[in-house]
Amino acid sequence: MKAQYINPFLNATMGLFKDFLSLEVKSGKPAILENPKDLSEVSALIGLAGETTGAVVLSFSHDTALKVVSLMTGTKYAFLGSEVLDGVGELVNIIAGNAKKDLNDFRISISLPGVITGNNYRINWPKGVPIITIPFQSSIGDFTVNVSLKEAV
Amino acid sequence: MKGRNSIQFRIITGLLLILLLSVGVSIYLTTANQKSNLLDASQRTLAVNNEMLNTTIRNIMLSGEAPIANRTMEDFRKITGFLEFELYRTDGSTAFNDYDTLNFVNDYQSMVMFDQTPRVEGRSIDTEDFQQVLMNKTPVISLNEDTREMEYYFPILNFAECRVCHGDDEFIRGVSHFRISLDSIYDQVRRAGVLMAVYFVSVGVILFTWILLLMHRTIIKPVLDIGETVNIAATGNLDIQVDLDRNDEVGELAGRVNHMISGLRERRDLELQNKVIETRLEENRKYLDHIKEGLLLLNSERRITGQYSVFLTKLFMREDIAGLSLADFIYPDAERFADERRDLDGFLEMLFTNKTADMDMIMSINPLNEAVLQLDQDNEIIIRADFLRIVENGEMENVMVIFENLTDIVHSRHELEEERQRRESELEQIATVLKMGPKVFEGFIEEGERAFGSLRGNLTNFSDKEFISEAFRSVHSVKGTARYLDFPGVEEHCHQLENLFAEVRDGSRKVDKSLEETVAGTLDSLDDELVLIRKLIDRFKEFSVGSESTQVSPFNVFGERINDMVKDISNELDKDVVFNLETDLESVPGLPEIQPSIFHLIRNALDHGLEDIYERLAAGKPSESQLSLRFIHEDNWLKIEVEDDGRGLDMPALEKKGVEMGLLKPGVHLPSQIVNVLFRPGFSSRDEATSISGRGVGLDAVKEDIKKMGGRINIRTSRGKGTTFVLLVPWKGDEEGVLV
Amino acid sequence: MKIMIVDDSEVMRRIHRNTLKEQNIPDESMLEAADGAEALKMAISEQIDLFLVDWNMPKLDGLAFVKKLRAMGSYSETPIIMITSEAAKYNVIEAITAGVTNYVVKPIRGNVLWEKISPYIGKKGWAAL
Repeated sequence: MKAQYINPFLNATMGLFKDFLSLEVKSGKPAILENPKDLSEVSALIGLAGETTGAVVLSFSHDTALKVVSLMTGTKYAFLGSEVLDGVGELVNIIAGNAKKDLNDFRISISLPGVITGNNYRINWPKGVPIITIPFQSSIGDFTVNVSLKEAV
Repeated sequence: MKGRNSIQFRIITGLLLILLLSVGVSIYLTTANQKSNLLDASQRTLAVNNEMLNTTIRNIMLSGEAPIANRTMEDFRKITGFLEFELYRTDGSTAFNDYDTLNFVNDYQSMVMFDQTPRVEGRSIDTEDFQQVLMNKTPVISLNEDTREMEYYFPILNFAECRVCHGDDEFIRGVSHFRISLDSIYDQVRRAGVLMAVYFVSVGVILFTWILLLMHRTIIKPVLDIGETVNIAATGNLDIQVDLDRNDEVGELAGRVNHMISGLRERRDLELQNKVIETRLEENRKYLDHIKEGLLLLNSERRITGQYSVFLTKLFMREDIAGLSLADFIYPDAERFADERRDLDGFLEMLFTNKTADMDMIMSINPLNEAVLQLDQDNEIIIRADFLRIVENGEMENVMVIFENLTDIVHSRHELEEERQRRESELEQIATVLKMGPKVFEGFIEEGERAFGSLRGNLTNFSDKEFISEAFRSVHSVKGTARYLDFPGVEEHCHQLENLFAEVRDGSRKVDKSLEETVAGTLDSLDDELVLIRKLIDRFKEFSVGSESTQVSPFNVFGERINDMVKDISNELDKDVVFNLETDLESVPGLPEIQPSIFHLIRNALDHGLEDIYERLAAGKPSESQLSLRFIHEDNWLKIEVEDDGRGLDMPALEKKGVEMGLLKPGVHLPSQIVNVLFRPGFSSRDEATSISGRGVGLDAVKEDIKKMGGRINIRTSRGKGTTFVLLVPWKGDEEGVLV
Repeated sequence: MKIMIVDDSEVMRRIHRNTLKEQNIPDESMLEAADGAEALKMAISEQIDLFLVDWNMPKLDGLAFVKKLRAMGSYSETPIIMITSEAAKYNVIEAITAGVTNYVVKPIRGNVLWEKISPYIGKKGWAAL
């Protein structure tokens, strides 16, 4: 998993939060996600298929999820309703879709986004491929973008 | 106009004649028939009358009453229409004109004698008809049309009762003669004729008028209209049509005429259009000859039409481009630019066929957006093409391509960027000079002057392979120092020279006058750069007289510069590098000589040896890389180690590449043999050149330099764990490690 | 005039609707569908004048929907704006080939959506609704 495959997701996330939501975000040191259960409460997932396979997960705390979707729609949300989950799903869809543009080495298609809450779930990450987690800090709270990509053989 | 009269005249004349003839014949036949009928009737009446007369006279005469007979006849003559009525004897004399018969009868009478009563006037007759009756004993009838009279001669037979007085010697007693006037009959017939004529004529006139009107309406008028339309059409006005909607023959004729006229009109319109197009083409031609833009028009077959601007041919340095496809025009080298051509063809296909797609969407995938085109060996242009759909009559007919020459813009953008970098580095240089004193720079200028001077003296010597390799190494070395001291201008020009020499070495560039000129030109630029640097240092010297003592040692300068270099390069490569400079030495004797080799190894380690953060994370390593540079004084050797904890040498890949490049014979190889491949001229472990490690610049230059110093290179490597390059050169200082 | 918003995301439909509302487009001339199949059904029963279509949708995705729509005679020239997060060159090519009229890349910044769609509304005139 090289920088040229991870950077598109990093840049797409930066673009989304800075240019679209006008939020100052700072990316932290990437790490390996040792335990997939370490993700935050609201996680939006999108699958990548095609010339390589993988998954992207955008993970927020309960509060941050509410704030980010409120910012996105201009509507205040107080609890995790279907619209908030839908909005978080849309965000990961935008990140994955935008990232595709810079993944010049292979054609991939993205799945429909899915959103999960709580801790009682399992994600079907690509087998034998580590998950890179990139932490982001912003004024509405921290979040992570998690990418796992099986490179083209 | 004449034909029009004659048709109508002939039709009217014909009609009139037929009408007159039929009316005449009808009247004649009818009146003739009526006359004969009437004559027959009067004849029959006469016959009956005669019979009645005969019978009457006979009966009267039986009693010898001639005078009664006479008077009866007198009365008869008074009946209208009876012009003449007479009884004649066979000898032609009038009956009852003498007393012969009376006397004869009286002779035989004994008791009663008949008186001699007055007689009628004695006359005689001897007409042909009279004689004929005597001869044939049949009645004769004759008609005199001129006098409108009918004469009737009727035999009076000698019946048995007559013979008593008149004897039996004769068959006919006499002839009765009637002459009657036919005036009334003729009048009647004439009246009937007139009536009929009036009737026929009026019916005829009505019929005639009707036929004429009908003819006029159904044939003559439409035919005249058609004629008029054709006449108007003949004067050139083709926008008319015969207004006739009928299903008969005339309607068909009108249809054909209309068809003919519209055919003519279409032809005229076409000719007109052609003329307009010709005029427009002419105008376009003039426009295209003078416009200062590269324009061309593609037709629906995606070929370049005859319409393109002269400016375009000058821009692309090609003439006669009509009929070419755009790909052939832009990328004539079909083999080398197969991908670009395919992209361009696909793009055009989309432009022409996907009309629902808007231009701004299509233009977002424009393949000719800042395209760099190599026109020939010396000419390169950078262009952007804009595409414009030309829609006529709702159909897309052409696509206009507008070429913008971005060469100057892009170049000046580069120049601006270079200029900016130069200024930035100048500031940094001033800072460095302030910190370290001008000595370091003087050394660099000397090195550069030495290398460039040698090149200038050997401009005609480029076909010597040995010299080219030497020139390459020396320029490469100056480039390394320039990079280290942050002189991008010098670095860039050295890079150009390096490329030229590499091409000569590979045989891809001929040694000729043009090469000589290019090298000389680049050397001029380099000299200018060195002069600038010298001026900078001189100015600084003037400014800082007496401050020499505060200057830092060259080794510390080296340490700072190499730290900066590692930071810059690792940022550029998304690598997180912790750089460690480890040494107990206060100074390193002979450092300037060995410096280029160290830079090279450091750059190599950053570019090839170390993985990026994600690769490291994925491999289970910490995202931070370790890069160490160690200077160790060991016996009579200076040992320099460049150690990274990167991916290590990929021996199988190296071996494969070595065999492919012909640097190794196929078969089994010792690790040392494989590693040796790295130090062969022209070897590059990566397929593409990067700005950091350069193009085809291998470790051969390092090995050559070290060899010259009487040293050697060792390598330790472990797959996935890292690589260490160890340079061993003879120690040049005294035993205490003090600089000589 | 009728505008149909086809997007599986409720939030995105609401955002698009708000964008149109800000331009004084009345609620009753906007229709919504959550996937291509539903949109197709609605487009058959009612003539639509402008489509805003998401690409990534369940059941019938945006691209397949556009292809089916274009195959119907009554929609051969109706403007269809594809709104998607995917901006790779091959995606744009696929969209053009399928018959998309224009393309807006998510996230939609500022007034980009309205700038893209207003020419198609201007053509017919909003007053015609």
